[in-house]
Amino acid sequence: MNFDQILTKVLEIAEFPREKRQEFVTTFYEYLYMRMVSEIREVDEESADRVMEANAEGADAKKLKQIFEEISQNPKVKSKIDEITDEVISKLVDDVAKFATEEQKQKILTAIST
Amino acid sequence: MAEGAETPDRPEDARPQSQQPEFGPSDAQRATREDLKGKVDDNKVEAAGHKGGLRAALLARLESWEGTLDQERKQLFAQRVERARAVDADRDSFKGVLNSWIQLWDVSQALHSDLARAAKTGIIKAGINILGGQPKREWLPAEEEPQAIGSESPASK
Repeated sequence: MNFDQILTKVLEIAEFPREKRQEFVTTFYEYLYMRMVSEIREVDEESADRVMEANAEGADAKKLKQIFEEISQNPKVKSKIDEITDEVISKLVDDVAKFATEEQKQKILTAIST
Repeated sequence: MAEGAETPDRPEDARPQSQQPEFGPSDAQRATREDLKGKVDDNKVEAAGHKGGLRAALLARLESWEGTLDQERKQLFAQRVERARAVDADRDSFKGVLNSWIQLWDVSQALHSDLARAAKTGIIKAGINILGGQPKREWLPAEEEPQAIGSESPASK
């Protein structure tokens, strides 16, 4: 199960309004992307430009993954990518940990493990 | 004014005006503002979660991301407008130089045609005679030859 599917499942279990689920997923990625580019830019402007360029050209997940692997050769960039990904995903995990009922948590764990 | 009112509260406020960033707030100011916004947003999510559970917390989280993205877009837009203004200013100053060259060219063209016209009407010869110079061949109509100043044409003898 990839992160997209997990996120969709969490929203479903949280009874998040159906019409806003796609908006949530899209906004999550946009937010992650925006944070990522602005933080990478602080340590390596060229790498940030490469990500932005790939995004503007409509690069697919495979291409983006390849670019992230290449720019991660720079340890400073890799550290920023890890830091931001952790920070953004941790907030979401914290929200679930804090506010999901025991039943919801169980359903999420079951969904992730299947 | 109260004593100490001019004392800056933050180090970035203490910088002289000339050291202020060219476009928008400094990185430090921006980071502080983002940190503050992040904390306010987290508090909103926390409050919503306590009140309405996971569903409400996630709705508040969505709102906070959208707010941040919106702010970021506005910031980017403002930066682009500032940069465009700077580029326009450069272009205007270049245009100014260009215009002065064009004006000079126009003046020289006008002068050239005035000289040619004057030569045709004989005024130039009179002017050159006054100045004691020798008319240039290209100033004169094709059929006329330059004459030494003060010399009279054979016809006038």
